[in-house]
Amino acid sequence: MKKKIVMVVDDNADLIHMIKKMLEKMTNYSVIGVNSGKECFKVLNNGEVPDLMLLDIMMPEMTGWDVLAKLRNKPTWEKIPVLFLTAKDDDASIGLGTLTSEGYITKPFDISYLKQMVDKYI
Amino acid sequence: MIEENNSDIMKKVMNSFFKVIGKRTTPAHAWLTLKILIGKLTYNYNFLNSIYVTEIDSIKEMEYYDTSIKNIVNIETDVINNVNRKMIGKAIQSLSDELIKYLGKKAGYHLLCEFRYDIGNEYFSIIKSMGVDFNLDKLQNDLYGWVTEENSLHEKDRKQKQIIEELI
Repeated sequence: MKKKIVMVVDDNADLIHMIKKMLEKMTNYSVIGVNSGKECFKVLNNGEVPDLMLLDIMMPEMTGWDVLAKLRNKPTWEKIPVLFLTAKDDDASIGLGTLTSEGYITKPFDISYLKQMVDKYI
Repeated sequence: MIEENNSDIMKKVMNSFFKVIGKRTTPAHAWLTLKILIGKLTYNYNFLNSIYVTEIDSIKEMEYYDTSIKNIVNIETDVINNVNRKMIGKAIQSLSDELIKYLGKKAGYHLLCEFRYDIGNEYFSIIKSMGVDFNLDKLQNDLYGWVTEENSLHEKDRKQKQIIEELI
């Protein structure tokens, strides 16, 4: 059976590495990481559509807000479940992020909670 | 008071919500937020199906303060203008309630205050006359009531001091 794919979009390479290591150890998912919104769309345009996306907000060039809006604007990608994974913890960001995505997780996060959320929406 | 039809009011309301949401995230995300909110509310307010949020490609480069943002929505004016004005008010109220539900009282209060400022007094009075009540006073009191209480305590102290001084 084909492994489900989790895509992590974050400009912090260390964090991507850590999530990949932990999630692949704890689950049967395959984790791919990209370090920008641009990279994310490069992968998507190549036909690799993940089963779930963990999306940072504060990234240079293209923010996570814009990545999500672009995803939801295209029928091929609009159904990809997205969990924000970000250090932005103000009420407005949490509220608006929760309204438009599947979930909003603030950094620092608990890996078992992250796994629980991924399991729920993948 | 300015005379406006339903579709003009709805356009103005949507544009203001777009601006204040976009200021907190980005214009593209504000576009998505409005699209989702309208989608959620069409179940109760079928006429909202006649409001189309402008396509994202035309707004993605815009900044929230861009004065060229005039029409974030396209409206089938014939449909909206024939809807009872109180129903339009109820839809606007539900939109605001839904935002408060997600943002919480504090962030919601500040967003609605900015919305009020952006839409201007005349339009704010119009939507108020349509039955929309953002409960700004109540929200303010819930959030900052202690400031008022504290002020009144200071006032009590001042009066007592004045009485004592007069007696002396």
